[in-house]
Amino acid sequence: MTPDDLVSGYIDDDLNDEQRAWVESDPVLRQQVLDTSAAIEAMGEVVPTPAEVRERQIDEAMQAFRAEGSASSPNSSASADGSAPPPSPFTPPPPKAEGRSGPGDGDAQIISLEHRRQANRRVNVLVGAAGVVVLAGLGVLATIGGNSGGPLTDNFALDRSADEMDADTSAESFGEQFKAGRDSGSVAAEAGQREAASAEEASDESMEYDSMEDDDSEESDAADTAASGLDSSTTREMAPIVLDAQTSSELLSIQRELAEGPLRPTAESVCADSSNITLAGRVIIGYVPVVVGDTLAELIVMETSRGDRQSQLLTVSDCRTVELG
Amino acid sequence: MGAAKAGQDDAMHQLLDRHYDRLYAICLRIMGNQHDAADACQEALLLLVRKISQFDERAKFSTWSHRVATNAALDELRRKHRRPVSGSDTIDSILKDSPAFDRLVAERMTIDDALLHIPENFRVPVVMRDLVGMDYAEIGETLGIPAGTVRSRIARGRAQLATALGNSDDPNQRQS
Repeated sequence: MTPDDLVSGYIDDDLNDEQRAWVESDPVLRQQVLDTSAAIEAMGEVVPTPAEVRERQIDEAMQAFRAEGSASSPNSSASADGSAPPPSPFTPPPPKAEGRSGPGDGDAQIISLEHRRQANRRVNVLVGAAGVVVLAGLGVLATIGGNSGGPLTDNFALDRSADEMDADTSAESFGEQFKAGRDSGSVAAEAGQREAASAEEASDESMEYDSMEDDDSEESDAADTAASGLDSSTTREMAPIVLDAQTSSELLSIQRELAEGPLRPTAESVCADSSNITLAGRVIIGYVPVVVGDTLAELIVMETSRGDRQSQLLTVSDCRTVELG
Repeated sequence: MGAAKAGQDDAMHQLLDRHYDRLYAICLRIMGNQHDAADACQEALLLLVRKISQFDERAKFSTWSHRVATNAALDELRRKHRRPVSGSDTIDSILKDSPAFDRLVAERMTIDDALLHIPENFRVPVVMRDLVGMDYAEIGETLGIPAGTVRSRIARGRAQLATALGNSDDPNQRQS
């Protein structure tokens, strides 16, 4: 059995106990399970369909439906005597703005690029001020679930050893957590029903960033690993920028504000278009440029399909991860 | 449901309206491009309205309609077998044509772009399993391949999808 078979079988609950234990004890396989699950989740998200296509197709189907009805059912709303069927009481929803629909309509206000630019200019001013505060500090704060303890002297090494420790100690909780997720409907095929549940879950979890500071939280372990928005294989090869604890603290405040504030989708983040970051199943809902030392960076806030908000601090020059301490 | 089966216009319209996005998603991810997906989805809708009176309600409507859409897409795939349009081109044209078309869409297109990197014989079982929710036996029966082959193709397809999305290392470099 190949690693791919083990990962796929684990997701489908199609392994025996020994194979399952093998997956849960292997950090690489565990990560692959999480990554693959994220990909499946992403695939299950509803595809925005152009409104005109949607309406035309439904209209054509309805014409066929009426024709079927008039041919086979004398009691159908299409009358058998050939007269026109009565007008439908159904009122289609009003067309979406700009003739396109998207899953964010109604939930997150989608604003035009020009509006975004104006908003971003306003944000830049605010962030300029924030940047001054940030510069007064040091250190780095991190990707979600980052170390809230003291400053890091070697973030990369610490991160890795933490990962390894997690792998050794939390295989059981990984299995339980994954199974709970699967049982609650993590297969993309059930995404429709899941959306409502996710919304509820998201509101329950609107503590969002509280969990970032809770290093002991079982829940945050796998979630952090699963959702680190960056492809570690590419980003960690580049030297991370290390910030001090105070700067990290300031950035964490900004993160919180972002998480709680009225963020809007943006298409203007330089890093959002970088191949160095992975956005599978995550939607960038806001970003803020910040100054880290003499380096311009972006704090990106993303939302997963579960409604969790996550953030990453990235340098603009090459969209490297800035590891926060 | 009963009203739609009885031929009531508004009930059928609401049913299609409610399920359209999901049906389109299935068609898109099987077909690999929007043009063919629209054709397949239209065919699926026509089948649904023509067969609704035969729907026995032993399964949920969503389950039944997803299978109808899957079969319509597979038929379309067999019939056309044309090279899919590049997802990246699609993103570019959308963003150029409609500046208000937001980032959410672009991200989802990235998923579709990733799916295009997966060979059809792996992509289709993955979509049938993970989007439609069919089990290995059903997929094997529909595609005319053994369940073991389905299992293997799904495993490889999922791994390739994760890799294409940049979530995992190249499968060729993974531990064995």
